[in-house]
Formats: sequence, structure tokens, C-alpha cells
Amino acid sequence: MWVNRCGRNALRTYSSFARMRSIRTQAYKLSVASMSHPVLKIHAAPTVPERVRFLTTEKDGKNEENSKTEETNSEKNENKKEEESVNTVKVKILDNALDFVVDHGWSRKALSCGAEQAGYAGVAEGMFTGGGDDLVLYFIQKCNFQLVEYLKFTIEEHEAKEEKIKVTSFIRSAVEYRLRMIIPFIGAWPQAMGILARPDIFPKSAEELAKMVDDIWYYAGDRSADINWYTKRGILAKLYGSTQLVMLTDQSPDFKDTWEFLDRRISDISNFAKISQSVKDNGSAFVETAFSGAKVLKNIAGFGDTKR
Amino acid sequence: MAMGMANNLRFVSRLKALRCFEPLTILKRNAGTQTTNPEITHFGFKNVTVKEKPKKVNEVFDRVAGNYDLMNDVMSAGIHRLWKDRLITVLNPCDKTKLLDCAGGTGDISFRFIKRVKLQHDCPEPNVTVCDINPNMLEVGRRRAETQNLHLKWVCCSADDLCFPDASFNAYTIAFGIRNCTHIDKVLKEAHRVLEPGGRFLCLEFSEVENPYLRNLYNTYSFQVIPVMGEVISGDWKSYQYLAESIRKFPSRSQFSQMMRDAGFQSVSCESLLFGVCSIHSGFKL
Repeated sequence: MWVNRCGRNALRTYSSFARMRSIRTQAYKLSVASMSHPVLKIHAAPTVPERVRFLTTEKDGKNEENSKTEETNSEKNENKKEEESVNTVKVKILDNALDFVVDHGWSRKALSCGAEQAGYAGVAEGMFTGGGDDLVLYFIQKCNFQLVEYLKFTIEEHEAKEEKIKVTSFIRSAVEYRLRMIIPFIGAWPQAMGILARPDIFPKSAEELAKMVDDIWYYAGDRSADINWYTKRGILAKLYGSTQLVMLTDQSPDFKDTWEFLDRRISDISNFAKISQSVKDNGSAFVETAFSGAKVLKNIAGFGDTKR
Repeated sequence: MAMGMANNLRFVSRLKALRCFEPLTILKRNAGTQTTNPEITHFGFKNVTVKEKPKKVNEVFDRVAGNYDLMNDVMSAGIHRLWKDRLITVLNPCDKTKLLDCAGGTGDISFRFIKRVKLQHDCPEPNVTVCDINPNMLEVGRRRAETQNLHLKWVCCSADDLCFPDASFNAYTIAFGIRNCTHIDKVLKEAHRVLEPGGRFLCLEFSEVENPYLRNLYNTYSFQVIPVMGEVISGDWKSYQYLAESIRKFPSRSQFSQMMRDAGFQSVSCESLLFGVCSIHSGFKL
């Protein structure tokens, strides 16, 4: 029965990882909840989200002297303030650059035009070491932030009406809302998908996708601490990716075909969930029958132990 | 024939008196001497007063102006062209960029800027101003511009006291010139003053080679080969000795980055070229 034991141990390891992940996710959610969400309030007070921190790639020469001296608290504060002011300017330029993506694509040219529109010299786009890649990553981060605001708003609405959230319709509306944000840029979206799939950018884009599906499931009420944590997010990521691809080639009015495709995929998933649930409920007998069949075969072959 | 013999003897005696035959430990010792007196600064490995240095630098460039471009090609085997191309690529100018090419005497950076903007953005008259402290270098640049039919503005003024109004440019470059300036901090402050918000400061300058073995090779080449080339081609040993020494006296990459931050530049970065022989320092006025 070592096969049985190995399988059970593997499942236990996965479950413990899932439990750790869910605890970490919940802690992250608490920190996100306490943070101001500047993207929607950017006209009021432009503070920069923590997630945009990767944009500040400041490469210095060798810091031999700096490493020897200890940075005092005041120096660290000054560095932080400088970083924040640089980030504020970068976010302003990126927001303005999105207006030029349709004409110039996700490129340094769009960043340069955005900088000019924001009131800075065109050469300020040199601050972005990745050029157009930084613009794409900023855009998907911005969309994900707006999605979280929408999910919170939906939950508050349901609580106000004292309705229970239906998971499938919640997820469907979340995916539709998120995909609709791409519509203004749909002409340049294939280029963006190509950039996000590149090996040097892929880790960051995969992280953003993972955070997005995690956000959707968390606000849908998922608190699973076993292998379902992974399967649910994996299924949603695949659903989102396939719907996005369908949307790129959809010519119907208001992308009607895309939303019908989304509805069909969600009903497929919920049917599969029902079947798998019934298998689980009735499955223990099936599993025992299967294993006893295997034991019989072992005895016939001569490898079985003498115990019954 | 007697004159020829006398010239040869002078050449040989100069070779013998050469500092570059001394071991490299003496190079390190000389390169490290600093003074805390604000009236005294360095001119190569010598100490001179702050008032004397601009005059001495002017004398050096008066002597080298005639063969400046040829000597650049010979000393770097043409690689300086790639460095300058890289500087303009990093700048990535558009048609609305107004460039101030400081210490840009013979116009290498400006010509590259104009050609790139004309080619990429179809702009008929790119806005470029070249300023230099030495009128002879500007004259060489003017003649080169005439032969290529390029239109630029040529201004003779010092980098630490620019004669331009505030926020009148959006790109400032200084290629292989800032180490000759007496007050580097004043040059940086002036650069910050004349740039518009969002303007970029770019400095292409020689720096310390990172790898110790390559550094020894580079030191040997700088002190034993370059002055000889200078003597043979231009008949001028001292200027090229000063060139090698002034490179060693320039602040390190991290020190210069900190000076840029102190002058008010943000998003400061540094890119090494050719194992550290050259560096491009970049900063923005925000």
C-alpha cells in the first residue's frame, strides 16, 4: 500500500502549502484593505501604489563608499521621499502615455508624447528603462486595482440588499468588467500580449495574473485551504486567458459573442464541479473497490503479503 | 642636420624623463593626493590654484584643437565614435528636443544629434546649441559644420557660468569635458538651472576600469602609449600626459552620481562602456 501512502503524503504536502498560501493571502488582503487605492483617486491625491515600485530601477555605479557608511534614518527618509516624488512623476507620464497607445503602440514614442502632454520634456521617457514594457505592466496593474475597487463595490451592494453572493455570476461579472477595460486598446492589445509573453517580462505578468485571479476568488468568498485553492485559481486564469483571446478576434456589436463564450465556459465549469462533487461523495466506495482490485492482482502476481 | 640631431636628443631626453617609466605604485600615490585647501585644485597630478586652472586648460585645448579629431581616432582606435553613438541612442531625441552640447567644441555629439533627428523625425531644423570655453575648438566645429551644411548655434562661454536663461533647454550633454572643469558642482548646478522640467542631463566621461588586470593594461596604455602618440603625431607630449592624469583625478562613478543628486537631479543612473573605460551618467530634472 505504499502507493496509497505516497499519494496521501503528496496530497497532505499540497494541502499544507495551500493552507500557508491562504494565510499569506489573507494577510496580504488586510494590508491591501488598509492601503489607499490611489488609481481611482489619482485626480485627488496622486500617491503611488506599492505595486508600481518595480518601475524605479535606479542603477548606480559601484556603491563601495555607500556600503561602508551606515545610512541614518533621516537619509533613508530623504531617499524614500525622493523615490516617491520620482514615482509620482512617472505615474503622471504613464497615465498620459496611455492616450497615445492607439496611435503609437506600447512604445517609447507613446511615453514621449505622454511626457509632453503631462508638461515634461519628451526626453523624460528615458526614466523608464523598459520603455513600452513598463507602460504595459503599469496598465495591467492599474486595471487590476480598478477591478478590486469594483469587486468591493459589488459586495457592498449585495450586503446593502442583504443578498447572498452567487459565486458563478460574481466571477462572470468580474471577468467581463476586467476584459472591458481592454476594449479602448484592443487594436494594440496583440502587441501587449506579445510583450507580456516575452521571457524577461513573463514572470512579472504571471505574478499580476496570479494576483488578479486570487483577488477575484477572495472577494467571491473562497477561503479554501487545500488543493482547491490552486485548482480554482488555475481554472479562472485559463478562463480569463481563453476569453481574452476570443475577444481579440470578435467583430460582433459590443463583443456579444465574447460574453456568450464566457457564459458557456462558466456553465461547463460549474457542471464539471457538480460532477466532481458527486464523484467525491460516492467516490470512496469506488476508490476502495479500485484498490482492492489492485491488491488481488498483486497476490496473483506473487508480490502480495500473506495478510488478508 | 644639427637641428635634426638636437630634436632627436630632446625627444630622447623627454622619454628618459618620462614619469610613465616609473612603476604603477607611484601612479597610485600621485593619483591619491588631495588637498583640503579650497583655493587649490588639481591639474592632472599637479596642484594648481583655482584661478590658474581655466587658463591652463585653455592652453591645452589651444594646442590640441587642430588635431583633436584625428587624435581621438588614433588613441581610441575609432571606438570613441561608438561611445558617442551610444550617448545619442540613450538620449533618444524627438523633434521637439532642444539640445545644449556643453564642451562640445568640435561638434561630434551635435552632428550625431542632428542626423538622428532629421532621419527619424523628419525635422528640418533641429534645435542645437554648442558651447565651449575655448574659441579654437568652436572654430574647428564651425568649419566642420559648414562642410556638412549643418546649422547650429555656437556660443563661447564657461560651463560653470552659462549665459542662457533658466529652463531654456530640455537636453544637456557634456562629453569628455566635465573632468576639465574647475568646479564640477557649479557645472552641475548650472546644468540643472538651464534644463526644463523633465529635461535630461547626460555626461559621457572616462571612468575607472573595474577589472584589476584590465585596469593595469589600461594604465600602461594611458601613460606609456598615448603621450608617445601625442608627441609623434602632434608634437605635444604634455597635453596627452594631462589627459591621462585628469582621468585618474575624476571622482568615481558613485561619487559623481551623488554629486548629481546633490545638484538636484533625480532618477540618476550610470552605464559602463567597454569594461568601465567610459561611463554614461544620466539624471533628470523633475
